[in-house]
Amino acid sequence: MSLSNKEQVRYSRHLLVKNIGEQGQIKLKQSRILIVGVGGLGCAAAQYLAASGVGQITLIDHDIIELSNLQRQVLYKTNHLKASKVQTARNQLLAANPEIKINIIEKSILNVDLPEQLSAVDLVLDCTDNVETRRFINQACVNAKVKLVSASAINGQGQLISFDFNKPDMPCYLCLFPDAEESALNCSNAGVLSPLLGVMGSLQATETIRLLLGMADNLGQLTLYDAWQMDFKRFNVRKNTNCSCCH
Amino acid sequence: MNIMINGEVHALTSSTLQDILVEFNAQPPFAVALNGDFVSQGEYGSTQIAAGDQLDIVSPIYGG
Repeated sequence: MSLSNKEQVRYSRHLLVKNIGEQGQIKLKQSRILIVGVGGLGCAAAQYLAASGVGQITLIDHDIIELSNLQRQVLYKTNHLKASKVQTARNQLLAANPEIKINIIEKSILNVDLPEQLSAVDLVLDCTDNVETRRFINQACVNAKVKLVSASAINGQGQLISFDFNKPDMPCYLCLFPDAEESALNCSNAGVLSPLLGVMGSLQATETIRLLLGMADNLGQLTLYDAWQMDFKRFNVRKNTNCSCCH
Repeated sequence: MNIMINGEVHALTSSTLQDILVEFNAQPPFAVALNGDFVSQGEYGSTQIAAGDQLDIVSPIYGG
């Protein structure tokens, strides 16, 4: 596979980056990723990954666009109210970059044949908003040995962690947070700072590109971002030998 | 002994991580890192904490 003349121009600023270059850009073009949830995180991550030239992006979300989404879900505009998130997101992403392929699945992730979807992708971004979907996606990625980049955000705090389940001794999301109970805080009751979704979704997109290019040095590390303190922290997560999901 | 919990010094009397989490009244769900490394729940009882250790108690965030 090679880059067309138009792609050479479109991605010229990537081609100048030593860590990407033409071979890296071709790798991105050959990559297939799945983005679950096209809300605050998914809008930011998808926008950058589409613009970056990731060749095939599948979006999963069952929601329609509500007025309260527009404060942070930056792919959607006021004239999109009541429209499908995945259909609108596809139109917006293809308007930005018609060189790539966007597939959409307008269903709750819990009603998707996820193993079948995972057999056709290199990496999954978890951009969902509740514990049930996060556990479901984690388990499916562990089973299918597919890379997972998970981010989350509430109020002014964000979390990011990535996994490559092909690697020995790789922990999973449940090694870190084994409890199934919902956290006391969610976006509906605690609110969320608009650009926090941009920060966390962009970190998720950055980590995705790093993994697609083979940079694996951040796997299994939880990054915390606190917008109100303007502070980043990073912790190592070890595999739990009694994990109910991956042991 | 004095240990750091979430960036603040606390004077606590317990010696295992399990007892310190009870003494500190940590509210689940959470994960806890000792000097930068998360400790599995099953190892809380056998993990000894020394003066000057740094604990970070992190609640999961699920929003997106």
